[in-house]
Amino acid sequence: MNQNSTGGINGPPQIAELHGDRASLKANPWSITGRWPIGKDDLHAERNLAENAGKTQLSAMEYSQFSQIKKHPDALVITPNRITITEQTSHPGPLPEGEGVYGGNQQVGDDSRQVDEEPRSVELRDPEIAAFLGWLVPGLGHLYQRRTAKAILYFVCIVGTFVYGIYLGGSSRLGWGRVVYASWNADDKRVSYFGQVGAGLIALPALVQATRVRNHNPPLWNGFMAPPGDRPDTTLANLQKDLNRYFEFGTVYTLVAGLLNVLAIYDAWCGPVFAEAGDDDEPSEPEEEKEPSGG
Amino acid sequence: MHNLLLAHLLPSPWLLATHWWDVDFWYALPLILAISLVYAATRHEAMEPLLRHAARVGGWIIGLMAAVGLVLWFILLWV
Repeated sequence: MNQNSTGGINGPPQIAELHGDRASLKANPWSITGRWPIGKDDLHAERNLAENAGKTQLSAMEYSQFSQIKKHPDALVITPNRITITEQTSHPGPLPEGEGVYGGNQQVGDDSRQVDEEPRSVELRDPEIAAFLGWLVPGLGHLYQRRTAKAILYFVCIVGTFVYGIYLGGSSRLGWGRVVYASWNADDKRVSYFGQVGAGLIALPALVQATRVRNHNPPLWNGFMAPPGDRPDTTLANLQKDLNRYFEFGTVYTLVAGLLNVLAIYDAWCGPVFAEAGDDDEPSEPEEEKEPSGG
Repeated sequence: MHNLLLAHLLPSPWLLATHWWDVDFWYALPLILAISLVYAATRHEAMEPLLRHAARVGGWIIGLMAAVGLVLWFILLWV
């Protein structure tokens, strides 16, 4: 069928057309090329699509956003050599709570069907801002996106883990949070801080303390997150001796919290990685026995 | 005699503890809970499937850790 940008022969006007072999699209969907003569659309992806007007290649994220087309199955026509998107003449109306412009990692040309009825699209608002807010305070990016339940979940899990790690890795005498510190001395390279700082604002006092110590100023807040050695009884050897295994527990807790927030940030930026049918993580429907063909 | 036999059979972390609740393994539970929930949250948007997934992931982690612990325990008995 030959369609043009002003309208199809028997269908709604075409707003985008992507060319490519279907097999190669399935193998490498990020390399789809085509033109984006988009002036308007009715696909709840106006902003994302309009920003890409004139582009001939999609990035992974743009493609993911584009896959929102799954919400309008009639708008997408896939033939062996062409993918066509047509404008929807009937507006689907306001989206239900929790649904929006993002369709997860659905792939064009993927024939798999979803395995449950949970919403498959999420409004990400401004993903970059959400990601930054998510780094600043775990869950804040999701709150900004009005994904309140997940915001609470991330905040409780990540901040709770981090705070418990601070509690384990310190004492009222030695100072709290002695396991979270920034140090790059020859004898104490604190690599785990790179993971801990993923928890965001809550790990940043360590940078303030490290700067003060480097400038030969005494650390603030009774040595909270200060590098070891600010007092004779807080050398690294003493901390490990006095805190014993809790020094390691605290390190692991705070490190894991920071790394978990990296996952949360990705979720705020790109949306959830929805499980597909056939995914081992998902319960699969029992398959009906195939009838023998013929006879 | 009975205690001596038990001391040989039980892994060392259990021996170091005076009471069962003193065992350091308990410190793994909050981590497993947080990891399971956060991982599942990156895969779902609705709470019900998210919690189901988290329970499954948590079970996997505990099972895997138990299996590794069992292997280490056998090695401990061997040497």
